Amino acid sequence: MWDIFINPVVTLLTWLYALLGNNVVLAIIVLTVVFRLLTYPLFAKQQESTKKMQEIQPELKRIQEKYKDDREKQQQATMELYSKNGVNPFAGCLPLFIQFPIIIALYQAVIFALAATPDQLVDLSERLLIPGLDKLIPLQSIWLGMDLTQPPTPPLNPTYALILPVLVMGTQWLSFRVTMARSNSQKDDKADDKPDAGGQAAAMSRSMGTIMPVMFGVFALSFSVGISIYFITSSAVSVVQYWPPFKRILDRIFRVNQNPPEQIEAKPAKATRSIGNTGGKASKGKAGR
Amino acid sequence: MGRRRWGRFLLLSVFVLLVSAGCVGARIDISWPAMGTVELNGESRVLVAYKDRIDAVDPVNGSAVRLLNNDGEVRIDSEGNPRLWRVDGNDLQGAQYFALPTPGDDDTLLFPTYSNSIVPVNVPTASVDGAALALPGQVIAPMARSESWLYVPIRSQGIIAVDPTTADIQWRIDSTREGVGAWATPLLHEGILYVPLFDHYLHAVDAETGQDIWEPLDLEGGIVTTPLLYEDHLYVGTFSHMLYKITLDGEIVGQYEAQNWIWGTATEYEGMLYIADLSGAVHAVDPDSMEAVWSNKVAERGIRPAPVVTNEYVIVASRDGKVYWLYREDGTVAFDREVEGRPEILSDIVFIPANEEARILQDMIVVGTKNLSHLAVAYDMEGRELWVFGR
Repeated sequence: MWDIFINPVVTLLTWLYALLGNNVVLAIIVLTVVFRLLTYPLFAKQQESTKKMQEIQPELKRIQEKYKDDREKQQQATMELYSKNGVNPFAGCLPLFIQFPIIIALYQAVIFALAATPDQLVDLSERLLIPGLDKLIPLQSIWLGMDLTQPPTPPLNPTYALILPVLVMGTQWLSFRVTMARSNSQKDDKADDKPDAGGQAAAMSRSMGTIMPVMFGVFALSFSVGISIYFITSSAVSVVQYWPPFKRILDRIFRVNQNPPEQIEAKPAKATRSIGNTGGKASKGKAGR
Repeated sequence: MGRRRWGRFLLLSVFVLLVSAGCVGARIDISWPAMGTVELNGESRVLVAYKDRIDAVDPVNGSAVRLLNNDGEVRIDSEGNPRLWRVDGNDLQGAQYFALPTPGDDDTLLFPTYSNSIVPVNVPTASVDGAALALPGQVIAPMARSESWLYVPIRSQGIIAVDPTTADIQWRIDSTREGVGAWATPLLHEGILYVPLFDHYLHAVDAETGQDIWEPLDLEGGIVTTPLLYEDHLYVGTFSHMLYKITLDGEIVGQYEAQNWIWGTATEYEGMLYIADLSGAVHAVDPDSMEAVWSNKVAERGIRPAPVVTNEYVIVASRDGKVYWLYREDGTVAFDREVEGRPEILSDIVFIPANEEARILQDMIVVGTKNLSHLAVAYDMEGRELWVFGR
């Protein structure tokens, strides 16, 4: 079933490889950037939904306290709150679920297209959908002296290839930091006076922000160098996407956050400003804790 | 449902989705079992070299071959169990085997490994005979041998000619592309080595010195198959779907286009060539005109190994987990058989002719899968399953 997503991406990656002068690294970077940009509206929607949920968090907490012995009333009041604020609890999940097949297809495409072993190569024969691309096989898999099909560890690759897992960790950390900083600042705007509101979730996010980069770094040690390139590009694009000037351009291009609902509409300038101030504000918040 | 529950449900869903799509779909195996017949202690045996182990199988009943002493009695280990003809890669720093051996000196088989070495195995005792010879890269195809040298296909480099006793490199043919090397065994014929490389080039070199006989030929597609030599022509399949007919002087004089990559070497039988491709099609090609006598897409998935041809049938095995018997005359399917669980069949098909002296009463074929419980499965020519060998 997943081949429906994976095969077109493998084909596209191979086609880009030919288009970009038989450079597989450029092909991976371009494809990752294009996919991240195309899925930007989904990211934006997901952020928007998260933001809304955070805004009603204090009210939600109050309902939970008030009806802690009556689950039915609690549920009813929660639904009313959602309805009143135009919040759909699924709205944050749906874009996430739509993105997953794309992200997974991209990740798998890199593995399949590079096909380092006979077992992977035999599988590639069923994945190229455009006639004529077969002639490109095998793809040029050496880049800057590194074998893209092998893990970055010696003796499979030169010692300097170990910089890639470090870069994977670094870009992942930066990506998480930028994303979390934005979320925290949004929450702080609303819930500065209620320090425990969503505190658990924030703590969990902070832990994730530490654990995930390390985890990805470890993955990068055992996955091929090509996958590390994908991880690094993906995180770098994510960082750039949240960079305020770029975000504003993307919002304009994809026409997202153009007609925000009432709650957000009340302070559109601040919402924009808060993105710009996010880093400093969130850092201060963290330092204070 | 409370928010916390939704959160848990979401996390669980994401996890299931990630595991099912992201992890399961990736192919992490290196290759499939290498299978072939060899003479072990005077008896014909099926060798199965896969990952960290090499097993010898008795073609009569599919049982693991037992080691015998000089008196012909079964050797017993320290715990009183019969000793089997088995080479364990873990005894040699985790060596991985995906290629068949080449005969070494008396009573020795030389196994190339994916772990950058050649392992000499003493045949009577199935033990490693001396130190492994170091290689500059991984090997996934069998080596060729002349009186002087061993020709070793290195996966990511090319072909090296080495001294069989020291592994000292005498000469080498490197691929035109970094990281892309030799995935097939070279063909040795009258002092000339025909070397197929994955970088699309076919070389012809002096087997002794490595000097070019003719300019390397660009076949515009990856070559992972050993050329077939038939009536002074080479027949080479490529990933550009082509089967080329090449003179021994290096001139392309004919070609036939299949429907997908050609991985298995063409099989010649009574003046006709038979090839299979990775679309699941089988073709009978007239070598004179290089035109199809018949072509039939028989399998749901690709066919990697070369066809086995008998007087009546063309037998192929597919990634769809089935073995197909086609009538040789017109390529229509006579019958097919499923290997239990339908694992992909990727190993070369081994044909074992009847031999009463060896108690093999009928012709049989052996197919191989990566499923450890069905590593090798034998059928007779009527499609009856004779035995299954597993670990």
